[in-house]
Amino acid sequence: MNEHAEALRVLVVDDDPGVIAVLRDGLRLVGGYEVLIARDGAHGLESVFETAPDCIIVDVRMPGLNGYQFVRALRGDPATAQKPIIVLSALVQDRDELAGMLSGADAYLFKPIKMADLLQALQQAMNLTASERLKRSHLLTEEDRSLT
Amino acid sequence: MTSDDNNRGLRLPANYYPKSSPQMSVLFIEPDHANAERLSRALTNLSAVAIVPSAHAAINAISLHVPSLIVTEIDLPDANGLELIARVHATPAMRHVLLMVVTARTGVRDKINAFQSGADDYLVKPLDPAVFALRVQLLSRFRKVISNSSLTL
Repeated sequence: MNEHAEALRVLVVDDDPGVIAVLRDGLRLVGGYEVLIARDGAHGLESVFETAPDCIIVDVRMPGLNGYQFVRALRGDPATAQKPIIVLSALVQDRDELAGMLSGADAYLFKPIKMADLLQALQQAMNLTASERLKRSHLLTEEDRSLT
Repeated sequence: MTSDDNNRGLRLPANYYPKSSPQMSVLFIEPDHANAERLSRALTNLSAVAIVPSAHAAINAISLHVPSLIVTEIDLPDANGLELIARVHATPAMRHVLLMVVTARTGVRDKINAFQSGADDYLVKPLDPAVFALRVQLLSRFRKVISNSSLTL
């Protein structure tokens, strides 16, 4: 990577070494990202504040702080409320997907993840404006918008 | 206002749940009364609201009426708000109560402690009342989804 094209940094928060290895390689080699790793939600949260990544990929099920709590902790602080966040889950359940979205994430993907889908979701999440993020992450309806 | 005699000497806060048939009752535990009032105004008019300044007053209020949402500061004059949240969270009859922290504290450790104590959400002050209202709405929907799902968190 040359100094004129600094790589975007993505933080991967997951406790599964196999998933971490696949994501690290794919995001680095295919996506051109610099990849940071945290192995649970608490370390992930610390890492967000210490390393200020450009975007975040987080697994739902983790020891300590789970993926939903991790997302809410970031969305609840103006310092991190606009971080692009993708939630990953091994659970193929419509309700679980909805629950993931309701935590305030920008997008939600099931494992096994296709790298192309993940890279596209990251790109879309990073292009969201604040109002688009609010609308998407809070699933606002017409009725809801009258609140804002 | 209910008389003290009918409530074993417990004192209701002056502005206790003024709405007659609310969809949601919200208990703010917030020493900064004006801030709680500002946030509460952003909630829909279907929400009934009570504001108390301390953990002691909150426990009294909860013993009279279990609210659907508790919003607490961490730094209370007589206790740590997270201790109160942990107590509510550990009480089976109150497992349905949504627990939200609204605080001036921004530390990572505070956030982790809050969720591990049972908080459902953590919002940092100063807080836009419209954003607060959205988070309340999101939390209510999330709770409905989770309670209808096999997923345990």
